[in-house]
Amino acid sequence: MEMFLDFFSNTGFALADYRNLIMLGIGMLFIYLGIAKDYEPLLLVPIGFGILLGNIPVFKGLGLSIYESNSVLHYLYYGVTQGIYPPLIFMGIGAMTDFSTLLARPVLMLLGAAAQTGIFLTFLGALALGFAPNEAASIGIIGGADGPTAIFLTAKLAKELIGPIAVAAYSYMALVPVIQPPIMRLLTTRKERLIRMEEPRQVSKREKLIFPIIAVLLCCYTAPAALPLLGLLFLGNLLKEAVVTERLAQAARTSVIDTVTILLGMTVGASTQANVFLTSKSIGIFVLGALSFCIATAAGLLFAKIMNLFLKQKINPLLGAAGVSAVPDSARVVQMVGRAEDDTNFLLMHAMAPNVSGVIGSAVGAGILWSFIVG
Amino acid sequence: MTGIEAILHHNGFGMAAVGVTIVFTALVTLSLIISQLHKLLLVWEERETYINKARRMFSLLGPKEVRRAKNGEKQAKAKYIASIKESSRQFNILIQAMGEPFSLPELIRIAESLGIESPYAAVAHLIEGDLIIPDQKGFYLWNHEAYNSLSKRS
Amino acid sequence: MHHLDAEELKNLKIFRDLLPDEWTEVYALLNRQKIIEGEQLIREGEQAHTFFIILRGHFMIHYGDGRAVTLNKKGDIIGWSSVIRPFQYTANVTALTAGEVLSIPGDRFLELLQKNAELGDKLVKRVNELVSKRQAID
Repeated sequence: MEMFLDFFSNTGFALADYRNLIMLGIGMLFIYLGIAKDYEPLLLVPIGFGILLGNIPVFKGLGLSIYESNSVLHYLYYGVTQGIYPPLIFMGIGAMTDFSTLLARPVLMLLGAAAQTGIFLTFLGALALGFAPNEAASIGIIGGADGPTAIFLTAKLAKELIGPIAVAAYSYMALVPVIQPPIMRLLTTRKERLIRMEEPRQVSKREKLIFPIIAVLLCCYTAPAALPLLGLLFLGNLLKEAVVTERLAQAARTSVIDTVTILLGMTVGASTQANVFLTSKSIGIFVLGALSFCIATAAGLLFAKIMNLFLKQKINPLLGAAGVSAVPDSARVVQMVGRAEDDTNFLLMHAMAPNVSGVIGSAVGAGILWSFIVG
Repeated sequence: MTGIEAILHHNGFGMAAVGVTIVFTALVTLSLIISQLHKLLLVWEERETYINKARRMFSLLGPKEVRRAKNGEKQAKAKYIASIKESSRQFNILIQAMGEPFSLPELIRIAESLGIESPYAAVAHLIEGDLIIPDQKGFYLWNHEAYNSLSKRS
Repeated sequence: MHHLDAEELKNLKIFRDLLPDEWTEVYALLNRQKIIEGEQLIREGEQAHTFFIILRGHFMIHYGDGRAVTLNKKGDIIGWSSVIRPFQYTANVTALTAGEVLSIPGDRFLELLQKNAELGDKLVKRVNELVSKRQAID
């Protein structure tokens, strides 16, 4: 009987408290949203399952918890804490991204830049709420709407916040179709939403080959701290565009990115334990995260309207919302809102230009924040 | 410390302003470069034409050279027409050596190894001109009638 | 690709029967790709990940045994193996002239077909029609 009681006292049932149960509920909600509702399943399912794993109470010292240095989960988590996984994901993203819409109309790149204002305004908001600068920078990067970038910067600046920031970033990315449309309708008129974009010029293979080389040199000379992310993003893109390395590009955008996504999602979820996640800081992170998405969307839209004051050939200001770099969801939202006004107005491919430029802009923004805080 | 005091204490406004400026500067510069990239590539690809035009504009060519350059352009056109006949002649010899029916990829491979210019496009034009015709079994035949009537044309 | 391109592409035989919503979903997967003379798009035996629709140019489908067939009509399809098991290309495809194709990632296309059975039905029927009309070389 004593042995049975001893055994029972080491089980999760005896060690759990109400906070673990709350986190298990959150994990199951993520899995439900991913599988049943098809909300970013490739991210929410591993994260949700990771949350379940991370909130199974274990006896310390047996090398089971993600925070114990000799556990399997801890070794897998190394890729997150050392900033290895996000650049590998960026390589896969580069290998599946077609920059030709951006090359055809480079002025749309500025919409991606404008949307990154959300990062810095959220940074100010986080400072105002009493967060330390390193924490505020990690929270601000949620406004870049880029999961790997958010995890990368947080791993460098505020490791203890990886869990809530990753969960906030990916949750809001999944909610882009809910968050953006009301802001888009509020800040644009019907006449503006009906604007048709002019036909983009054809982009040659040579341009697509030269672009990643020029882009990586320019962006990393400007913000060297962005090198891990942008270096691999543009490597992936060059592998894709140079047909002779199609095998490598194929590996980058399938097996590599899928493997890393599983490990990153699962370990980030497992790191989101009750004592780390259920704090007042997490509430602040979630509120600021939501605000950052709203500010980024609004900044992109308003900048597009300002650009139209100077452009002969007007751009549809809805494209500004695609500067939020949740690729390709925010571009799809632009398409959806545009088609609601005019069924024949195909904005999707035009919206991909600010969308992918937002990825570049958010990585540059992360590099700048990292160099400010560490420097 | 919270509020504006916290922002000022950590030089938040400065960091935000500089950060936004750097992001904009980087992307504006990149967009300027790539907006001119296709023009630079076009100039590079047609550099001979531009060099000749520049020479004419600055009268570095005398009247004789200008006439020669204009004649050169006319000759280039005539050359193009002659080259179609020439490639059909070259492929006729090649196909006679290979025998019929022949394998199309094999024909292209041999043409390339013999240094025939643009063998892929040449074969495409011969197919479009019905000089090379399929035998419905995956191999091809030379259309001798069509070739003979082409050769008779001046 | 802008709305005029979309109109032009919608008229391709493979997409003609699609409803507006179905077309939007398919259109999002399309990429225009320029091809140079002699470029090999597909290698026999390799994993099939993309299929192509010809917009312009002359292409040669050829096999290891020397047989070949050429395609140069707008709307012709190459690489349909990327949506059929075992997802391996069954021939080589080389561009005889410079041209342009629409490239479609096979796995995403397959996902779309699996999500929307009616759409899948329409497209597969059209593709079978187009591929069967192709010159037989058996």
